[in-house]
Amino acid sequence: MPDLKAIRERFPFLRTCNTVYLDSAATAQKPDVVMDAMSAFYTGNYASVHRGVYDISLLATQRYEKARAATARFINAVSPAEIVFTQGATAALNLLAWSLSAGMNQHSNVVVTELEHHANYLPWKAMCKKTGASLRVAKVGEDGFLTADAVTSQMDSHTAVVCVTAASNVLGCVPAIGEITACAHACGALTVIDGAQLVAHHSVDVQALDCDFFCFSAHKLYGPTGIGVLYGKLEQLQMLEPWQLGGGMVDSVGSFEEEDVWQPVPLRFEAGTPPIAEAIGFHAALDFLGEYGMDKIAAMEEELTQYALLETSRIPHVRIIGREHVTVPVFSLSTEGLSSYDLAALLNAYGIAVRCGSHCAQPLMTRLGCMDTLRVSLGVYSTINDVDNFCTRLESIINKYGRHRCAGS
Amino acid sequence: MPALEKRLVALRLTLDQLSSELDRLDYLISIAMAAHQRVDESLRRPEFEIAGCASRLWVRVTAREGLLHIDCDSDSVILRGLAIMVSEVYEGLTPWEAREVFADPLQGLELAEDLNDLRRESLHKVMARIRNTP
Repeated sequence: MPDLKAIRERFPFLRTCNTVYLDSAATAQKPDVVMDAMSAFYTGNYASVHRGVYDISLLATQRYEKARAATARFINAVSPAEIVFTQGATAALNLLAWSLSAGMNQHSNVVVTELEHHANYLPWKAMCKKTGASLRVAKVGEDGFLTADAVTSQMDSHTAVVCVTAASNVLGCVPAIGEITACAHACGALTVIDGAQLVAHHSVDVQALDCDFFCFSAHKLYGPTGIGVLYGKLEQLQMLEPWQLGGGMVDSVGSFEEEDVWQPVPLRFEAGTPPIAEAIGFHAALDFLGEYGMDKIAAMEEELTQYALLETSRIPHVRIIGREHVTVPVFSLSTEGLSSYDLAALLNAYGIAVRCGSHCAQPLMTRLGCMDTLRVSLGVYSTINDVDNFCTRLESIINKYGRHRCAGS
Repeated sequence: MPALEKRLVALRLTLDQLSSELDRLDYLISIAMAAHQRVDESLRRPEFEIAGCASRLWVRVTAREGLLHIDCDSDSVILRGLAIMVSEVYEGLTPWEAREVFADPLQGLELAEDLNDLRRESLHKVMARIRNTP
């Protein structure tokens, strides 16, 4: 197992701040290597990429493309050309929804699920409204779990795209992506996987998953904000129209009557000056994870997650939603008498950072019959002490303030 | 000093004595619990709901014999306490007097810094609803 104390030492935030940070599903803290890499780039050899002929531009290009290659290796893509850098997972999903709308009509349908983050729901809903296609929403069970059957039963020969999360940002459950993908392909549909909550916790092999597209953000993976990844099978990316036009993505611009010639994939999807420093910082984050190995990180987090679930479930009046399906270190709870906002605000007063609300997953909340939950999420740096602090404070808050409404309420 | 200004000063003096975030939250919860223990279902109706609030919040403003009477409820006990605290500034005023309350009761308070934008915005909507009652 990796040395947790040594890992924590590498995060300046954890060295300097006493906050118990249990909101890594929103964004992860950054190891110093990420800031160092970005700072060194900005101070040492900052320049734009791809078009400069001078040394520091050539070096910047080399480092930007090395980040792309490292990302390809991280998810076992066939080639770096299958990696498009975007602003984040949300931008990647919007790019897909916009680009794939070209082939949609009123006979087509798109399958999404109730488990999705709004980022993998709203773009498809908007795309369907625009094209006349149907939006089919696969239902989760009462405990929030999404079975493969619930998704595959929505598919037919008119299904164009199947969009599923690889791990729930609310409940931490993991749908059977391989099974869903195989069924989608049998129907002739493309698969879009929102990997934002999976990549930081499990090794991902896009070739084994056989998905057509896989999206995630760097900032949940200990990297910087402002950069994300759209993975696509090369032949699928080559079919897509670029969604943003401008500098860097075009090979030749013709007259009004002539067709413009786009750059090859992936550059045709990266209009404008890309997030260069962010890519370099992201590469440092991937190297950081590579030092420990995703399988070892997964095992360490799994142990802590099970401990957190056990200890939290021992607190009277706490209900963990879909506890038996929690796979990545994210789980949601509710309690009587206090809203998730009350709990989060009171925990914050004790220096414990957790998330409350609907977590950008209102279809799931509606299905679960609740407005909001308190979400706990762990990272590579989370400790038993963090969990114990959380549980102790949560129990004392519930004892002091909970169940305040009298009988008959 | 007019009664209204006295209320605002009293509110600030009370809150100024609460030095920590936990003290302030504790105070708000005590307000909420003292105000009413039972859910008033007649209040939890769409027409009284403050839109856009992550924790549901209902505010009913009525004018009886020319004076404002305000009821608040929320799924969140803290937000309910906040809404009650703010509404007590306006309670019993005439609608005309309420419209003359230009001061934001939360402005400059440490309590306001404890709130995120969404909650601050919700409280401003509560104040707007009170001020706009004919």
